[in-house]
Amino acid sequence: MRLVHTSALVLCLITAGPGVSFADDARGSVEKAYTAWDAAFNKQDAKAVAATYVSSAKLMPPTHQVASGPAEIEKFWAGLFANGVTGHKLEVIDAGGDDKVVFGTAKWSATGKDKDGKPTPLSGLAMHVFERQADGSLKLRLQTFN
Amino acid sequence: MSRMALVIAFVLALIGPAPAQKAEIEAANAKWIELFNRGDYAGVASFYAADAIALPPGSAMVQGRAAIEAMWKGMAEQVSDPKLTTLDVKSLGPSAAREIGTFNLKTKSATPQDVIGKYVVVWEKVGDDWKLATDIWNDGK
Repeated sequence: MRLVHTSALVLCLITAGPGVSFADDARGSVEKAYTAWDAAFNKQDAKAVAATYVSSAKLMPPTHQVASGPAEIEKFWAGLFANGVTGHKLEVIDAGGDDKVVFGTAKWSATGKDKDGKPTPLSGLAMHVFERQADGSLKLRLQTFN
Repeated sequence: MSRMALVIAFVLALIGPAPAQKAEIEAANAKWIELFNRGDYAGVASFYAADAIALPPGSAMVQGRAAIEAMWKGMAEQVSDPKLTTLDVKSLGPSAAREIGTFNLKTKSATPQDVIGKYVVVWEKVGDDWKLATDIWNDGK
């Protein structure tokens, strides 16, 4: 009977406890997700960018209202592409998490256009919360930047 | 069998989402505001984890309690009367949570202006206390 108790406890810890191997690799997973996100952005493909978010995702951009779900998020990024923002790059500052939720903070940079249409550098800081998918990849649940 | 159920319930209670997280975080925010309004920026910084990162708009990131204390002290020279409204708290496990909220404050210019913004905080439970681990905000609701 004691063996049954111990097995139940071990099973609980294995199934519901933090996934050490995933947690250890949070930074690598976030770097991979950032690279894929930048690639989609730099193709100016709003649909591909929106595909990197889960259906319940929220995007909290500065001076805009919160965009909820991939359709609203796609519209937001499409608006940025229409305004000529290119060359997006995310660089990891910090990352953490477990087998279900991973978060990352980053420096972002891109090239926009000034009022005369001349290229102008843009940059800021960003935070992302990801949900890990069944194949181990990450999809965005929350994104904010300034 | 009932002992086994108790063991499982105990383990799940340890690792499952804590429903009290939102109330505890709102209480921490209330205390944070109280300290800010009192000008106790060391107290404000004590709400952050030792290796916390603040990501203010238009500025370089700020890491660690001493730098965060200096950041809020500098900020208080420009703004006053901050108010925080927690909109959502999602458990990231037994000892971490993600908060989304909005803030209001007033500028200290000759003609004070209301500023409204939104923020995301990742909180970590350190001992019995919730500490801000990552803090980012921007303008606009």
